[in-house]
Amino acid sequence: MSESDNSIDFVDKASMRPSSGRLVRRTFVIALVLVSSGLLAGGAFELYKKYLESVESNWILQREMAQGASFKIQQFVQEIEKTMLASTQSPDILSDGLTDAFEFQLIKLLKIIPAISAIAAVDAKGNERIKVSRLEMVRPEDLKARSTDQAFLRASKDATYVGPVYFVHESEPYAQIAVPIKRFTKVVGVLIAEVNLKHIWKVISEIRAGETGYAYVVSRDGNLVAHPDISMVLKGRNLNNLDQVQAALADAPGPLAVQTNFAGQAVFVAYSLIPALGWAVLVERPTDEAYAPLYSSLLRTGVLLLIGVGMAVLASLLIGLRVVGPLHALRQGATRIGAGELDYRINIKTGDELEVLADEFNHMTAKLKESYAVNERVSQLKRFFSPNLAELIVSSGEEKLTESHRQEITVVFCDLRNFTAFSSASEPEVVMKVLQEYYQVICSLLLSFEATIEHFAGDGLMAFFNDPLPCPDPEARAVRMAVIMQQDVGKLIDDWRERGIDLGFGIGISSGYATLGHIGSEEQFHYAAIGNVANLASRLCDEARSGQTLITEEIYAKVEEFAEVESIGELTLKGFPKPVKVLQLIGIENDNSISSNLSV
Amino acid sequence: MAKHRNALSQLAWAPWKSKYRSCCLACALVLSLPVPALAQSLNTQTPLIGLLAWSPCEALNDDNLFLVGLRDLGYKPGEDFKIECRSAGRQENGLSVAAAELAGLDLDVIVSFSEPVARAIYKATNKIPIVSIFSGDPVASGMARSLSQPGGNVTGVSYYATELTGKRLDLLNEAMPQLTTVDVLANPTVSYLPFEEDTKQAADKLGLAVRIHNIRKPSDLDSAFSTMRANNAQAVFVLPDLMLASEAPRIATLALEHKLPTMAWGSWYVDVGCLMAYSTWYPDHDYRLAYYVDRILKGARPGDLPIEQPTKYILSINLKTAATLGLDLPQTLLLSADNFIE
Repeated sequence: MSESDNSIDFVDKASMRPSSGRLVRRTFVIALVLVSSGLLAGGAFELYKKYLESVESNWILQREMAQGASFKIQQFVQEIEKTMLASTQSPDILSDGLTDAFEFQLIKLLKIIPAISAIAAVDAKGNERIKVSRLEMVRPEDLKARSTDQAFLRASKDATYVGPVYFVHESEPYAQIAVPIKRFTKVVGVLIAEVNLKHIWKVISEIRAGETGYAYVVSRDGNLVAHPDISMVLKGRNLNNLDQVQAALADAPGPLAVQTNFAGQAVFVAYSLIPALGWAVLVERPTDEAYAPLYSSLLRTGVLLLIGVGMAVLASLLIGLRVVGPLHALRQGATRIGAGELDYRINIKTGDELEVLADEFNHMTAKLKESYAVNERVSQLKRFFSPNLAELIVSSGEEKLTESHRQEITVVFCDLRNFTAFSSASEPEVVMKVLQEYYQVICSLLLSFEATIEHFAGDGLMAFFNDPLPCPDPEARAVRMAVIMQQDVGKLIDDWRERGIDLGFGIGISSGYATLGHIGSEEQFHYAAIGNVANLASRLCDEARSGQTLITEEIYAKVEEFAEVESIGELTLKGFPKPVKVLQLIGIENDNSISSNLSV
Repeated sequence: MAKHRNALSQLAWAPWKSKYRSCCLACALVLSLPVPALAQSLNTQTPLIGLLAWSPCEALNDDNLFLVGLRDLGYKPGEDFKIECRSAGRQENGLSVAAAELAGLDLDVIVSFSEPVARAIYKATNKIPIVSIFSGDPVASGMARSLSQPGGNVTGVSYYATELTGKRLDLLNEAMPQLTTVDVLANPTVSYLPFEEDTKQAADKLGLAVRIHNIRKPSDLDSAFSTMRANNAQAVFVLPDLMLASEAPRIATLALEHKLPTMAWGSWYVDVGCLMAYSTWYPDHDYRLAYYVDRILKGARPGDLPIEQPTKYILSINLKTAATLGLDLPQTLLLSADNFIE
């Protein structure tokens, strides 16, 4: 019983905690961690890969574009240079210098190269000899001295010159290209062309890096030469302050980190130097666009994460519904069973371990109930039989032993003399104490002699031998027990007398057939012996004086070997038509059988 | 069992209520965030492009290079833009009426193909962006602060009409080295453009005398040519003007009638019988206007869009006329020519 008390305590404590909520929460966290860590890891990996790809692949892709454009621009300039050089092979140029007929070649050059808006043939001294222009008329007085021009100075040293970008009307980008005019190894003059760079714009405007990426060209000093938005060029922007422009002009090795363009936008940059010109082509692509797949995968991961969270919530709810409910039922069941409701059954039909657990629980409860019933029966039987006997009866199926039957038994009846007077005259505590001391002695003897107790009533007691367990010498046992009883109770009576209590003790023993069996209800077990033998013992007990044990002739016949008796004579007893021959037990031979009996 | 579940769900949800409700709310908010792209597509109003034409609007067809340029930039007619066209009916005073009419409309941009038309629109509105071709210097005429930063509501391309005057005279002189006097056809209506002044200066430089004939209306041409015959004119020089442009066939006929070589400012003069013409490549300009319109429709301010200058020039010569007139053109001139009529 103390164990089940503990378990009730445990259940009660458990019921005070929000254990089921905690379970759902824990499940949620686990589900969340499982779902989202997988998603996060996958997402992060994908993002990182895409990021690397975007930096690397943008550089590679854009650099290819820049290189393509730089090649085309270089080709554009070299084409002009070559055509100009070819025109200097004209027979109109003599070994000592230019002739007016060379004008024809210059007109041809304007025709062939639309980008040239004007071209001048300069003699070895640096004076313009012939000049043609698309826009202006040229009179002899319009011819100028060019001897200090960089174009003349460089080209006269037998090199092609490409000048810095300059703007006509503050808006049209131009550059000078100058080539030497040679006769054999001697430079006899210089051709200086004014080249409109808007033609380069066509090359640049064809470049599309992604959706919004673009290319542009800067000159050596950082001036914008070409840009798909030509208005940028026409405004004459100088971009030397941009890191990427400086890197491009220095032809620094890439890839370049994210840069800011002149509009303040973050861009991926790649570039290519145009070696012949010292100019650079830059290809820029806004990172927003380049990262668009990155953002979309970020969004995708985010949505998946949200779905994951949703699934985690769902999973924890499902588990909540599946596990927490049965757990709750189990807890309630445990509480009720703990409180003694052994008929309570937990009803869980989940078809899993929880159901098994509940069944196990129910099984345990049934066993518990059974065990309780046995205990109760045994404790009931203990009132009549020794504990060993009681357990034997219960375990062997008490019905058989205790069902109604006739049996020859030896009945012992004893009570205290003068008890009625004593109990009515004394304090209840004193009476109870006396009874306690008395029964302590009597019961221990009954137990050791394995007597069956029929009943207690106040100071009186009836017990018998040979039923339900048969014994070979019921009369001898009864007599031996009576002798010891007389001795032990006699000592008690002496004690009581010293305390001023005057009580006596008498015993009656008889034997014969009686009807034995269970009387009373299922719960109130009573094992009774009914018959004359019981009445006779009772009458003998009544007749006995204090300290006297009266037995019948039949008893004496069985114990005469060791018992010493004295005849009282024939007594007329109430309820017995014929006088009964009664003997008083004086004592027994002090043989081993007593001690052997006592030791049982 | 139902009762059980009820109690259970309460148990299961109870700890959530306080701590996680806000979390769930945040999740829901994130999910319901609108896609930013949606907002962009809301601006669905079709752009309206005003167009002021010198000729009747009916002449405007799909071959118009400005419309071709718009199509090449991905604009679908009727879907991505709509045209509101007004015509001056080939009348000088028709311009201001049409311009005022256009200025009263809710237009995104107004397009013109010549400077006089642009001036008329410029006078009518300083709010609606104007994209035009300029014959002269829009800075000098006050419509733009500079070519690189026009600053106002006007932008477009310039076609060097004034600058080319000297070059034209030079080319005419090259064709006729014995030339001493040029007879000039000019419309005083466009005297705000320095055509006459430029001609006089260039002629001065070339050592040529100049006689100006004012042509206000087509009928003035007859009397002008009569005067030329009386003065033993050597060559005719046509100055830019819309009216004179449409009178090209008549000028060509009169010039041939009077055996006069003509230098004009557009290849169509040569097509109908004039001796020669030198100009920029006009189709480029019309086509290029589409670029400006595109930029403005995409939010650029016209004042930020530099006025571009031409890069391609065309010299047209009518060899048949040259033969009729008995002219032996020099090789250098023939080499420079891009377009011959035989």
